[in-house]
Amino acid sequence: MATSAPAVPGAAPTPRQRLLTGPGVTGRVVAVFPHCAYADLGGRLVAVETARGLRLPCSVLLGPADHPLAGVRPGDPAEAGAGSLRLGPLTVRVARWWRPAAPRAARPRQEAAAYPPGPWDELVRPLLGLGPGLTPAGDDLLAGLLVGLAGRPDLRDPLADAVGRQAPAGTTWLSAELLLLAADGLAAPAVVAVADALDGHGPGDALARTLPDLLSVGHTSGPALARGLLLAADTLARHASIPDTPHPTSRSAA
Amino acid sequence: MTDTVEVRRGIYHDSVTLMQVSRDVAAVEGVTAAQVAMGTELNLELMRGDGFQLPPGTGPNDLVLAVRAVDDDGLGRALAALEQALTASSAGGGGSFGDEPPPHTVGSATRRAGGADLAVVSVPGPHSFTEAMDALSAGLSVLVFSDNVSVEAEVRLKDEAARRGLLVMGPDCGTAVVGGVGLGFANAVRPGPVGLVAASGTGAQQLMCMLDTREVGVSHCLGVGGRDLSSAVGGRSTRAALALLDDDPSTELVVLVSKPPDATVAADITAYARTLRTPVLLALLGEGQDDLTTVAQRAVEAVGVEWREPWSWDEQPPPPPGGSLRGLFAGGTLCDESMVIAAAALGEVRSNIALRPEWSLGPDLRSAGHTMLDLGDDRLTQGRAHPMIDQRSRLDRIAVEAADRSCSVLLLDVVLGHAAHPDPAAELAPALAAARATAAADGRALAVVVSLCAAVDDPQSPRGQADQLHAAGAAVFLSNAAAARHAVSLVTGGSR
Amino acid sequence: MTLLDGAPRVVAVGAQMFSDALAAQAVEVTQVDWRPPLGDSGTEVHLARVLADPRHGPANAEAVDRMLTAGAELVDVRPASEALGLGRGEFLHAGPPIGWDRASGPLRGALVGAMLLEGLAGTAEESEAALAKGDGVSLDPCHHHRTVGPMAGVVSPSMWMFELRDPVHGGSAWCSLNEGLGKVLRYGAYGPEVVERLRWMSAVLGPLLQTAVRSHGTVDVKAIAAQMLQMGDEGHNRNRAGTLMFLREILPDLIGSGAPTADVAEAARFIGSNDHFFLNLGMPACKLAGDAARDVPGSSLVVAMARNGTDFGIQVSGTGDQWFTGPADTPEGLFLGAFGPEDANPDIGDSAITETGGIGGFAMAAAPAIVKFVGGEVADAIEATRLMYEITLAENPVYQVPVLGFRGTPTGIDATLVTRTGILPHINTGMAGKVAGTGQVGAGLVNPPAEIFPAAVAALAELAPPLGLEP
Repeated sequence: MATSAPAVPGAAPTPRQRLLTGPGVTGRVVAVFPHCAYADLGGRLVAVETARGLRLPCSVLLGPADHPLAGVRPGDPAEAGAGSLRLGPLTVRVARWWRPAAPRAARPRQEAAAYPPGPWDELVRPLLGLGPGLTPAGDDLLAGLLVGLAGRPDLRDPLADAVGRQAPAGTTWLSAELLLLAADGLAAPAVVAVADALDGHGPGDALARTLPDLLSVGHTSGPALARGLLLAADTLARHASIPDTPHPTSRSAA
Repeated sequence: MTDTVEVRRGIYHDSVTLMQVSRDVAAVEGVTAAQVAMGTELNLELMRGDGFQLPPGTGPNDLVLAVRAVDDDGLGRALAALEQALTASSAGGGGSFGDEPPPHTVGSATRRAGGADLAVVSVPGPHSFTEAMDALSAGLSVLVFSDNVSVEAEVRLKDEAARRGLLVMGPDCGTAVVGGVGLGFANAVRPGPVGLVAASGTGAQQLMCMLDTREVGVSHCLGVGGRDLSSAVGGRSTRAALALLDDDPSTELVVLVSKPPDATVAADITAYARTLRTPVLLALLGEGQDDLTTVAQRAVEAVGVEWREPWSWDEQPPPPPGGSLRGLFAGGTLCDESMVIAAAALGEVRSNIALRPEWSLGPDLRSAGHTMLDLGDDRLTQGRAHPMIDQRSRLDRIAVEAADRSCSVLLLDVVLGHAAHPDPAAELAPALAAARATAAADGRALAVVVSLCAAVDDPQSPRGQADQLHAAGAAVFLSNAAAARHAVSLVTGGSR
Repeated sequence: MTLLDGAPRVVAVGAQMFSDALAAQAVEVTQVDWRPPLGDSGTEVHLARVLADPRHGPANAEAVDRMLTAGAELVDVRPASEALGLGRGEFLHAGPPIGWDRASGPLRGALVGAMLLEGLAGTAEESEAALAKGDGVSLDPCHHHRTVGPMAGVVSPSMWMFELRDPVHGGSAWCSLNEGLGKVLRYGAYGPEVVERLRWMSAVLGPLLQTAVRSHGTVDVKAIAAQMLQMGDEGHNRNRAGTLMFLREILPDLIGSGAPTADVAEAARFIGSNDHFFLNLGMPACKLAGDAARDVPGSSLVVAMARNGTDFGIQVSGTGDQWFTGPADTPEGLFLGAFGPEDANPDIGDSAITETGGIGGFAMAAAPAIVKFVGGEVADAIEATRLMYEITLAENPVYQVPVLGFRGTPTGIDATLVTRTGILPHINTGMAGKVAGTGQVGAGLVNPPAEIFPAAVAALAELAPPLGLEP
């Protein structure tokens, strides 16, 4: 193993709290981009992002250093636990926690209610893994749809279950992990901002303000995510009645 | 003795940095006095008081270096140390900007950063209004750490913020947490459902740490300044902070922490809180009110988590009854809470921030009977760093109390977290051990109780701090209220 | 984006330890290099009063908008007697008001020369005696007549003036014709060759230019100034490109004027060989910008900086015609021939109007050719311009610096920003000999005296509403 430089501080995502504070998990770096490095740690996706990254819900966010990811290579050993994370030569100390963005209307998934295979599976199957890259455009569309439906568990949960059944075999591991987070309503702030704007939050021009940021994400990801969100908005418009399943921690804005 | 006084015009360092430099230079062998400070009237007076001869025309824009050593060798070493310390302190700031000059105003820094959300203003009080106003004009919310801001200026800032849809935290706001980021003195608490609006810095810290013991996290903690709920300020920032938290999707419960407010303002804020979608728990501090630990219990239970008493390490034989309790605090609200608890059991507690005017200490602050000192009070921190950073005033006072035959129990707070002293126990533990040894040599028992205001993820490693303090003979409590009750029980001979 | 959406991006001013604590939490934090304001203790109270004035922000926005949008067109060339109504014995001078008793060598020399030019005295001695007695002569600042003059800035009735108009805000401004370098009146020289040149300018050059400009129609001076910054000029100590562009514009009309060929040739040679000819067009263009920004109540924008060789004065938008003055400093720079620092007079001239308007020293990064002239490397020039962004309210949409990625020049000096940061405006300037009659001795860099900025802030504070509690 390469010798480690001093630990740099990072802000860790709450969905990975158990993994990062636990006794220790090992794995390896699977991909490195200028502003983001991905690692597989015991089958879970953990990313490290510079200050210019997308803020994915599984990302440890670094402060504004010059080239914090320099020297991290795909295949490098990775390990996490006891409040720190190591990717090859880079050691990150968890200095604080951050809570990833979710739409304001989001409601938690009801883990207990498992939906049997249904019409959603037919929609999911051809889309999963459709397109090139680590996160194929078809997956991004599904992720957008899941985030867009986060306020309607009755619509979202059967879709989430269908994605959960098929993603492990149907697409890249990394994309499947991101879909799992999207099923909980968690996504990069650029995605959530558009979801909220479509849901009527913010000023009248909120959509015009938020959409450009989303469309500039990745090569195909932004437009595909946006398409998923629009599909969700369309679905919601056609299923206007909201079943009364109140949750103590949720407040959908009137 | 050899004195040297040098004035460097147009060079500026912040007072905290200079106090650290002074401390480093004073520690050099052969040096008997060292003061490195900007030439404010106060600092010049301090130097004259130390017998230094100052050149005429020295003013607040000048850096004054005054060193006294036993001989020329000592002076030479001192000056070398001084240059090294000053160079080290200025190396951090400008280097990373390359050829671009560093920003000189908040407005410029905001443009450079391509936008910002919050300004933290900690320049000396009289200058803070200008910087805070500049920040608001640049579209930033502001945390004003500085004190000595007039109430008129505070109202003007808060009205400007309201007009622009921004928030002013402070003046004299020591603690805030925004989006998981600790600002000022703040503990490393986890994200969670409880939002705080706090007119007291250490009160907010204690409350957050108590929530942390039950793994209940904090969405945001917005400071409003100690005067916000007075009739003059009218709760301007409290109202703005409540509105922000009500609109924040991650906040499920709001706790408003304040000393008892002006009655009209209280009614106004209570009525406003009722219009919000998020439940608001009102926590007032002072005699006849719940202590902060009890407030934390109410909040923890309100979000559906079971309450348990915070951890403590308190096996310790009580000293013989009849002695006095002496509290030495860095946190004002922690001192206040301890006094309320002690006064209920012991009666009169003298202090520099006394519960009643007739219990005030004299100007020499000499202890008399049960006494508690807020060493972080404005009047005691003029010209020196806050005791959460620089513990010298407290270390000195521990020795004084230990030598006092009437003192039988020492109670102190240790506040950990961001910006606090990196290892307070390393200095306190030897001082406490020495204090107990002083008493023992005199045939007395001296009990020591520490209130450790800490969250489990604090950078100082709370467990290690507790271990060191306990090894020095202190009982250690995470709850300040429990620490105070324990100290009282020791004074009264074990009867709680 | 509200305050509570995610981790805040922080700007910290004050104790470094708070920034350190934030950096240790992986938070983006920008530390401000703060220092106490200029002036005695009490300045902070004045600053607070001015910044608390609800008019301050909008007033500055309004004033600097007027400064940036002001246009500048050359509309005519006329003698000062006609254009400004100057009567016999009436002289204008650079800088804030001053009398003969306190006037410096170069200003005295220029006044002597003007007396000789106007035929009010036969010798230098007679001139001095008349000026000292105030016998039939009067002095007044150029700035009080919407006029600017480089160096001594002396204007007498028979001198011909450029007349510029601001088509946006409707103002007018005037400036004399530039005489060239070396032994010239504006540097305090008054020998026979100086007076002779001035007579030729009044008799030949002025009327020729008048004919040419009238036949050409208005010349857009601001457009030339914008272009010259992209051609290595900064508009104060280097005006070469501007001069040639002006000549290119006017030459066909000079030739077409029907004047004797020898006169046209001499005029063209005179203009083309004087690298500073355009300075006297750039200055009134900036004067129009400064004047457009005047008299906005509550504004701390500096609308004029000017020196008379003894005092340096500024005027601020929110305080009307009041001058805030302090002793003029002596520039640092390079010297001509055997001249040295001991020969230089303190700073003099209205030409700091260029820095007031966002060019000159503020556009130093645009003129790498003259950085050595003002004592430095190219990097120093870039740093000088960058530093001026700290004390200005805007980036000029018209005047741009190529090497900074065509960033607009720092424009609109804010007296509160100067007072807060202690960063003084950077002025490029020529240096006059301190003995009357010497002429130019060098060129260099100079700053205003620091105390005039807090003085202006104090005056603004007096005019600000009290910081009282609202009912």
